[in-house]
Amino acid sequence: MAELPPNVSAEDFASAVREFADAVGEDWTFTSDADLALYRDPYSVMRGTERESLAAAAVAPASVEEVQAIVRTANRYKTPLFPISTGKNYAYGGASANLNGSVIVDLKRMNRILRVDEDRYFALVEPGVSYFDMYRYIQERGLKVWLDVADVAWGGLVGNALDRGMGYTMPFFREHANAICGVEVVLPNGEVMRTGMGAMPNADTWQEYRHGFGPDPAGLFPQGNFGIVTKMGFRLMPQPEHYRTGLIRVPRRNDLIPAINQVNYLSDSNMLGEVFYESPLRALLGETGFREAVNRRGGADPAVLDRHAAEAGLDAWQIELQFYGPEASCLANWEYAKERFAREIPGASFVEGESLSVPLSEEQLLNPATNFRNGVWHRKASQGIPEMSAWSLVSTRSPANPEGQVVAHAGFFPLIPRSGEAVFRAQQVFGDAFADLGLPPFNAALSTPLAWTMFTYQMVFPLPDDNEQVHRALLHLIDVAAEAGFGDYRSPPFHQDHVAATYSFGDNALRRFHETLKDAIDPNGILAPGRGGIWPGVYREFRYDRDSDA
Amino acid sequence: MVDRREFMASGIAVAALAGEAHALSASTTAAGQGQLVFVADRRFRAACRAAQEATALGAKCRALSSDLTPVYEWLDQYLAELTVPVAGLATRNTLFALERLSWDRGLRTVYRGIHAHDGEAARHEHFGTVSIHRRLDADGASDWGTALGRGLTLAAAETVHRNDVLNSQWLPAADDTSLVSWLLIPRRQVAR
Repeated sequence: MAELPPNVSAEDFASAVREFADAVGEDWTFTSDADLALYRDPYSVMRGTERESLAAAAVAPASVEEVQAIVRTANRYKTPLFPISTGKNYAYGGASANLNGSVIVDLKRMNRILRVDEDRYFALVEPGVSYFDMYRYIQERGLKVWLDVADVAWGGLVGNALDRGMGYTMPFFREHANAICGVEVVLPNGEVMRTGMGAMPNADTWQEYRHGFGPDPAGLFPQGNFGIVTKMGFRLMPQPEHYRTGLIRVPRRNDLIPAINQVNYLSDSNMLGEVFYESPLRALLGETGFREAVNRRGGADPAVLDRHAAEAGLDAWQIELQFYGPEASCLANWEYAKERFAREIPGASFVEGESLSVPLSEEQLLNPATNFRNGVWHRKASQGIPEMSAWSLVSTRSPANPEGQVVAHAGFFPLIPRSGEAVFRAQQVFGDAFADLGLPPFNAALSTPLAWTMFTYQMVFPLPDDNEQVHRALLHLIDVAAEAGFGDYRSPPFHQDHVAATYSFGDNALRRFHETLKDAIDPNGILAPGRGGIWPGVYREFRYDRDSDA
Repeated sequence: MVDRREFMASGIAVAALAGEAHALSASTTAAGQGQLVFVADRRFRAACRAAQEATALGAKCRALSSDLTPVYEWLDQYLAELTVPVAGLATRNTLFALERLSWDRGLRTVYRGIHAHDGEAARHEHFGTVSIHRRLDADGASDWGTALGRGLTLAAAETVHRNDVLNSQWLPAADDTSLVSWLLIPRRQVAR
């Protein structure tokens, strides 16, 4: 039997459901157990427990007007809503709400691509548009613009950006929230608001200048609960003419420090796409002595790792660079990168990668002609092509997951400064944390950062294959990270409160600010209570209490 | 575990899985009306045989191997235009992805099977009231893949009571050697 929203009587809820059905049609109002089960998070750490969040109902509007009607009904009966775009945010909760008994507002039917401008490089879409939809639209019309896609591209552009998802091309575009330019939202009072230049009737710059005039509230909607986004603008990357890769190897462990400094310069000078770091020393992990040195508590000794590397004739790090643009620019930027690395890091060596006209052929996409591992499962994504092959990370043997183990599908991506020193510190902090948790070591000293965000790095961790263990591990990792100043950037619903609590400057001034806004904008607390750790006054008692979760 | 060399050497059904289905017989089944999509993982003999049988009965077949992207993209577009039953025999990851896509397009799951296979012998677990498992036992087909293909295809036209729609939150154990089968039907075939 479906859950009831908290503090709502069965009679009132039944009335609310009838009004939802009046607004969107019975066919698009879901109350059966089988239909509501579709909105459960298959990877929730609370799955099957009393603490799993289950939907009370789901409703799928097809227009802004229907969304408004749903919001007005929700206010009337005080029923909490939880909007989703395509609901594919796996590892971060999928379609499930923070508050048990919420009504899912499923926006998949709102799937129009409203505008794509290939001369001014922007798009305007509804929340149900998937990466596949958008790519198909661009290809069918031969538009010379690129998407920056998420890892697994069955999700929606809007939903992904609203949870600050990331991609693989040039810095500005791969931070998807950064590429947002103008949103339309249905506010908790049922009104429709547009941000930026969208607030000026007749302006045609909504997707070109995001701020408009005065404070820009667009930042309230990613990871927030201040409105239901019904349209979102994106800046799009112009299709480049050429694509080039190159590999740089540096011999010593501490060479990572100047290497990252060089990458920072090149990236911030807009010469580089996403960078892939890796360590050739992974080839030595079969040796007990090396493995122990890598997982040494308190951090690895650089001299020891360097000795192993020298004995094996291996470099400590390799960095794959990607270049986009005219062919001559790609070559010039690669040559310049080599020059800078050679000047700053004695012993740096260089491997020529590929130099290809864009678009790449299917053969070129599937069969890289390079002799170094280049994150090939990212390859299509680095060309703005949506795909599903990253799904191979989940339990199936593949080049990305050769042992075929089941990898728990939960996300923990702490943000660290873009420096080699910070990477080493993060390796030590999280390596020790794994040891404290009694988990298998994750070869800490060889863990490499992701360069997804423009100005920070992220680290990635394997998590255990047991829900309770994952839950405890995440709580501990969030704490340990915060103590080191490494904040988690995105979290499944159950851990959002815990993450939000670590952003505690000024006696949690940020959270109190959010709550003040929330109570003013959404006095009935109907919109996604708990999302981003923001609880309206009427539901504040539901905030996660770590002390009671022994 | 199926011997892949054996499968490749057999040459069974590879050509038939390359593209559009060939409707070999006029049938009143959903498949015969071009109304069933059958998805098969071409790496597995049983899946190829199931697809062959489904194709012979008029189903539109799509084959995949390790990357499900092409089939996913194709099915995404196809179901957007035409809501038809989707059946298949593949790995659990394929089922996970295609099931969710199908749900988004208004289909509901009425059958799932787990098939722990070892050459020709297999152990089957069935979930759902659709009569596929009875067909597997009773059918005179020489192999379970063919029997499963026939069973799924013939069941695709059945109407199912809403209480018999399978709860979505199910995944087989993380056993890489098992195949999974499924049948999803349009909500219009679910009796209220």
